[in-house]
Amino acid sequence: MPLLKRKKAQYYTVDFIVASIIILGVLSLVYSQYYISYEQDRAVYLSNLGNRCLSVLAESGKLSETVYDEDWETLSQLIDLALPPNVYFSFYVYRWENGNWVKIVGPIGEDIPNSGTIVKTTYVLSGNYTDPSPRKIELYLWE
Amino acid sequence: MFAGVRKAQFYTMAVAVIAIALITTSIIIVGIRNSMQNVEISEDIYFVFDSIKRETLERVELILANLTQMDKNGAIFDYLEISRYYLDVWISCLKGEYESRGFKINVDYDISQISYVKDWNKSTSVSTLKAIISIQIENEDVKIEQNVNATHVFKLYINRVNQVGSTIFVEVNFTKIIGNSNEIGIDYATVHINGTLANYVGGGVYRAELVFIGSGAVTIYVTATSPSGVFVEALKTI
Repeated sequence: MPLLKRKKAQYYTVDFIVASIIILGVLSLVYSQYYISYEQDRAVYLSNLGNRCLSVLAESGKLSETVYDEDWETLSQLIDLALPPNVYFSFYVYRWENGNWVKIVGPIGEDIPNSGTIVKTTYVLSGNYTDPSPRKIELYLWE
Repeated sequence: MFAGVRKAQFYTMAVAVIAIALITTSIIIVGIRNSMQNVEISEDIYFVFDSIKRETLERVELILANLTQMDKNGAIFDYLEISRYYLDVWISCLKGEYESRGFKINVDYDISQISYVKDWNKSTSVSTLKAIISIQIENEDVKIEQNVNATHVFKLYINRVNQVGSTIFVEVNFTKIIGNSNEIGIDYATVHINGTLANYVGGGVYRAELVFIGSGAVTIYVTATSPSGVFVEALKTI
């Protein structure tokens, strides 16, 4: 009789371990998928914010004006106004020179963190009357 | 009874172990993901297309501004060569930027369809650059293609001149017309009427009050310098 009980206990233990592994596996998979999809949603949200911010500034002519005047302080303020307060940014500006992009300035804004999701969105300006060389703005966003 | 209690303890322990393992796994997953810098590049093809189209139109405006300025300065130039140079630099820049990011891009124009026309020294002063530019962009999912009518017109005209006593009220209209959408843009130009800075009153309209002492005909001479650099002028004698 005690032998039978011990065997039953062993069965329970093995059963418990196998069931635990299966449950853990499934839950981890579901959780990690959910987490990845959550992160992707945030990345899409940040991308849309960045694209909209650059579009609005480009349409108003302010992007071209500040970039060609090299008025980085005003550009920072304008980007800051166009983004929600919990979104941080940093940007670089490049000039098109002899078939290559040459960095003019950057990073300007907050320090880019070493970890977490960061979205990069870019806008290419076609030039202005005094300087027909195109410019590229790379805007980095994170929460 | 005793066996029942043991069984309940067993299940409680099982639930506790699963909960602890789950929390640990979550912390590990979140920790691993947060410890990595994950830079995602925004590649919305519709945004890319819109920005290329908008800036290509701006590029044509830039060419027109340069041609108008050179013309005003009395320089001799080949407008086709200048247009070709500016457009080719722009196209090579676009290709360099977007092809490296996985887009297939083709921006093209027919040089024989580019024309530059000016009509000055009247009360209406017009500079026009006509261009049709084909823009095609595609990634693995979407292809967008459009022939853009990139015709630009700078138009300055003296709208109204009223003389009341020794004061002359002058109203001037300066507009930028983009052929693609027949959109009339307002460029917030700096307008001088007989040397007096005119006030912008909205809708592309500028007004100035001039004091006139004397007799005979008065010549109203207007110049407009827009942010894009275009400099145009209009003349009217009253």
